[in-house]
Amino acid sequence: MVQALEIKGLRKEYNGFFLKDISFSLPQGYVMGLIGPNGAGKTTIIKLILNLIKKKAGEIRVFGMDNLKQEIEMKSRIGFVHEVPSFYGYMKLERVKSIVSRFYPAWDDKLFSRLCGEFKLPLGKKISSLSRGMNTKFALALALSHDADLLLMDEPTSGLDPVFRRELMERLSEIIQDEQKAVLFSTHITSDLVRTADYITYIQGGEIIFSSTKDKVREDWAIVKGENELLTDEILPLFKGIRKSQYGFKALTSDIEKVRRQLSGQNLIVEKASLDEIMFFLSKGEINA
Amino acid sequence: MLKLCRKDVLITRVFWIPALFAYIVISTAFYERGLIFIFVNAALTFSMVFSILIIDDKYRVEPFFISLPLKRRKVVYARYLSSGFIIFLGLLFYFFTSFLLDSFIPIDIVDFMPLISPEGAAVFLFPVVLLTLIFLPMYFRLGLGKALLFFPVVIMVGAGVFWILLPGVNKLEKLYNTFGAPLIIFIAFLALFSLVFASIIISIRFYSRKEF
Repeated sequence: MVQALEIKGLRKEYNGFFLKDISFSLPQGYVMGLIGPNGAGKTTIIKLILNLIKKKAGEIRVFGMDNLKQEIEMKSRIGFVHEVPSFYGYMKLERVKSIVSRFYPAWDDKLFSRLCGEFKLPLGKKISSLSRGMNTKFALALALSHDADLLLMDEPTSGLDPVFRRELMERLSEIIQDEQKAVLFSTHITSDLVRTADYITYIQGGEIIFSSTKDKVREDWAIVKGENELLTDEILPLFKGIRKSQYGFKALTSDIEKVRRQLSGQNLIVEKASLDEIMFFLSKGEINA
Repeated sequence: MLKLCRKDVLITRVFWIPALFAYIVISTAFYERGLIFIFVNAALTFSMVFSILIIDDKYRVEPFFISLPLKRRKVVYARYLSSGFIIFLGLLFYFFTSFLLDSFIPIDIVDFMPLISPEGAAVFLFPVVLLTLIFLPMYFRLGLGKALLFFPVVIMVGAGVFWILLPGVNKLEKLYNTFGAPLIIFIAFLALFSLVFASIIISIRFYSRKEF
């Protein structure tokens, strides 16, 4: 299987933040959601891929190309949408397009016009007159109009209305239909991932907690509910996050079988964990409600 | 690289009419004093070079352009090239207005012809080119805000160094008397190319380490 993106042992230190030995890969033909709380390192990873910041160690390959040694070839195959798309506010969309299109040999003007039509982007208007959502749509139209093989999107859905968010997610699914392209997008809106992502990489505090297929995540992680008395010293290490109240506890685990075995015969409820719950428990740790 | 130059020149279009207006008002106010007239022209040309940096900084577009398929050193080359292009346009404009003023103002009030000469061009170019070559590496290292903060300090230090080296100008005069103008012109060009080369190399070093 050809890897659209391969990251090995990526490290970065800056402003007191540490990205620790990040490794994951995204095969061609799939969508990966990069999730995690604010400040987890999602944007840092995307910036490192685009060489906006310098890595301390590790390797980044896009379709087998080193992101530093073959920077131009690699970037020609990438479409990107930054968290806050920035263009010259006083320029018309048409003018920005004419500046950007010259950098991509594979630029498709017809496709751009079609996308602008679909996104209802007014090409004759100035960038400053666009809303945040429209700005993101414009960035997306620019990113999609040069037949990019890997789409990198940093929080593309923030600031978008639910209708367009859904449209965007559907479009991402369409993009990968030819099995030649891949999409990596960071988000903290987990419902976007449920609809679209094939792979999920969860990052927290600069470390990867897990990176696997969405189905495997659903199989591996569970919410366990029971009485507080069950939380013994032997069982506690099996939980990644616990929420206790006077009525009992609710905890997240990735060792479902072990929990079942150790607490067999006890009054216990084990349910599949949603992405929201995984994110909540992993980021909060132990909470006494 | 030319694509970036085109972009740089395009984005300054918004300043062309205000700059022309400022040029007419300020330069005609000082037309009777040749040297001030030259420096007003030089200052306005430098401000046009500067306007590219201001616009890029205001709209925070650098991460966007760095994400495009290009090397950072190309961004540096393009910035120098577009600055050079704007300075060249400034020089042409300076010659043109000097010629116009010379044609329309009675010759007994002020003679503009000395300004339309290689010496006039050298006096015009010296401050603009020098300031640009000093400022750009600072911009690539510190960003616009901090570079602006430290620029006056660097200029003052530079002026101090120039003051210390001033006695050396007498030696140039002796060289001029001994070998004539060609040697001085050769030295001037050599100094200029060395300075441009050093400024570009330093800028590339700084910019390649910059994080966005």
